[in-house]
Amino acid sequence: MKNKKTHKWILYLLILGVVILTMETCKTHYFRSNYKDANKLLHDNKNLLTKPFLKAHLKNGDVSILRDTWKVDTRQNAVSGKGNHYDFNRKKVYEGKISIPIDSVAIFETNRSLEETENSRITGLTIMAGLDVAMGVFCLLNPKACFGSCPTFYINKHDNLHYADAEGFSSAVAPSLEYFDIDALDNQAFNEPHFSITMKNEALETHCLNHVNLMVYPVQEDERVYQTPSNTFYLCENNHPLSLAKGPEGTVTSLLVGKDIKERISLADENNMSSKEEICLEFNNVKNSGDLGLLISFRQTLMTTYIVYSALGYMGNEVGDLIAKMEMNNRMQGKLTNGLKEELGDIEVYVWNESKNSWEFQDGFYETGPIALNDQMLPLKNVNSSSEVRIKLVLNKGLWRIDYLALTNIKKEVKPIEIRTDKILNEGKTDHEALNQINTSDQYLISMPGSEYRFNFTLPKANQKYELFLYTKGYYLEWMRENWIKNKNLLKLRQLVENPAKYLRLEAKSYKIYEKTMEQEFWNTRINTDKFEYDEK
Amino acid sequence: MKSKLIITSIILAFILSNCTYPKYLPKRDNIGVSEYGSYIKVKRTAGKKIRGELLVIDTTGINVLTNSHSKNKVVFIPIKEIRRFKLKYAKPSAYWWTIPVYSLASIGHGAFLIFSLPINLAVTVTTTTNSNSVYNYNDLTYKELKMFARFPQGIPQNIDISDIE
Repeated sequence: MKNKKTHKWILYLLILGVVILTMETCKTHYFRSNYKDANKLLHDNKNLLTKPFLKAHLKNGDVSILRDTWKVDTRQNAVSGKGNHYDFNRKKVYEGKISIPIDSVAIFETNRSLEETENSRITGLTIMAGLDVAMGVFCLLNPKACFGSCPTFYINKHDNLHYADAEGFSSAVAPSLEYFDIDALDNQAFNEPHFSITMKNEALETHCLNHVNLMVYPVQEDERVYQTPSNTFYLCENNHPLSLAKGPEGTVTSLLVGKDIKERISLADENNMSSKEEICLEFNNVKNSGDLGLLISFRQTLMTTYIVYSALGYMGNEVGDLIAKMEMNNRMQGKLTNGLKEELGDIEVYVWNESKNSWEFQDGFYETGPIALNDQMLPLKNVNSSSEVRIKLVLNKGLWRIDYLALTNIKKEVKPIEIRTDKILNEGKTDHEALNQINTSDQYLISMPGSEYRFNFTLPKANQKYELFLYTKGYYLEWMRENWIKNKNLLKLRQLVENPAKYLRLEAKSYKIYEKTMEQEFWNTRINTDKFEYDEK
Repeated sequence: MKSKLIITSIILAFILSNCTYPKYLPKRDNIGVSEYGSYIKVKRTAGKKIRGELLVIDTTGINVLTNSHSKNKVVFIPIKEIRRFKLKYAKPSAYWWTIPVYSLASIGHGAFLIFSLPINLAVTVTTTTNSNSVYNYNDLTYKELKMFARFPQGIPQNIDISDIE
């Protein structure tokens, strides 16, 4: 659908180009006139403010070209002026004052100046060049926005970054940080015996994939399987929509009630990147409040992207040494991965406990990555046995984009079946080596920038509806960019690792500058305005 | 998709780079002082296309000064053998280089290449083809065509046509 729209758009542009081209080629320039009669020549040119150049084609084949100072002397019966005289082979034989007897002239030729046509072309190209340079500079400064991040997965292989269905292991920026990631595909396979998904490397990164598996669970028509932040899976039914949501900016129910990619976001605190905010939720007419789960569809803003790139920039030309040290130092690894994460925090979930008259902490959601939306569910405990449920979310300002919130009824915990890929297509051709690498635990499929692999899976049964999850395991290596090296600042790096709270406080002002342009540019360059929205709070 | 578009643009660039014009063809501002005839390409009912400087045209046919392997030769084409012709009376500004340059600039746009590359290609290809065709005529009558010949008055009797360079 989206792809069709893109194709249509390109077609319109091409048609426009052809129309412009046709219009231009239809233009004729009647700029040249020939005269056999000198009187007619005089008559036609006497009222002109600027005299045209005059070419006198002589009967002997020579030609005299007179500049705009020529005149006809009717007494002498000659044309005179300054110019050049050429023989029949067009070799210049004279330059200067010329007087030509009219009797020797076969034809006079005049040429009016042609209308200027280059300006519009030059203007168009200049505008395009300006836009190209601006876009290039933007991408150079904010590569994540333009070049994607970590492996991105697409059910429709023609989709682009804005429509990624999953992104794998976003935080694994070094071999020692390798982990597995499970993403709900929110796409139920039905009747089809096969399922395919395309993996793209759209970044200046080397992706090392240990596994790409599909996790499936059979469901009935009114059932869904949801994944919790700790990767347990529950079979659920019913959907209780959000009745009211209030954030610091006011009511945000309309942004959170539907799964429509109209997301609720906030901007970071200008004094502290780890400031928190609250969103209060109300659900009315809830049935079976004893086994409820909170459904959420969310992703991050570009705040963590900024921090990762800043960290690599602070390493400067020592990036290789420092990453190698980190690989061998568990303490440093822990600090780098957990310190900042703890400071930024989860989307914490609290349920109002009527009997205790207080908010009761449940758990939190956290998933790194600004591209694909994560669909997860959190089982709620000690919910009042009434039809009204009140929930509070506590989250870091400017870190999260939330698209959807709802309640569901949990039926039971389930264990999805894990399926290995049985065929990998690399640029449309079967890649046996890649298949072997991805299905062998100690081997890695290496994906370089621009690579695209299509993974095929055979589902256990045809004519059965399945809930699908993508399991990916691996890590990726960022390619160091020249402009990052200039930002080397080991003290700042130390502060980020050792004292993330202070770092987030001191870095807030710089981030605000980045946030203002980055978020707006990234999401405003969207394809379908109905699907994405930037709400400036 | 991306690579196909890039390859297409490079091929186009090469094709268009071959659109070179003879030295005698004046620039737009020098049309009035050019001593030569215009450049003409004639497609005949049979045989090869003839291209060169339009020397003279009369009721029987046209004479074109061709240049092959640095040797000039006057070729006469009878009117009845002319299927169609295209006349170029001025050298267009060269924009072909914008196709590869602007296309390459799109590579720096990452994922947004899918938007910027087609736009860049549409603008640069249109500009180039547009510019190439702006100083052309292909619908002139033979009487009008005469005005663009080196000898609009016809070949003077004192000149042996084989002496023309």
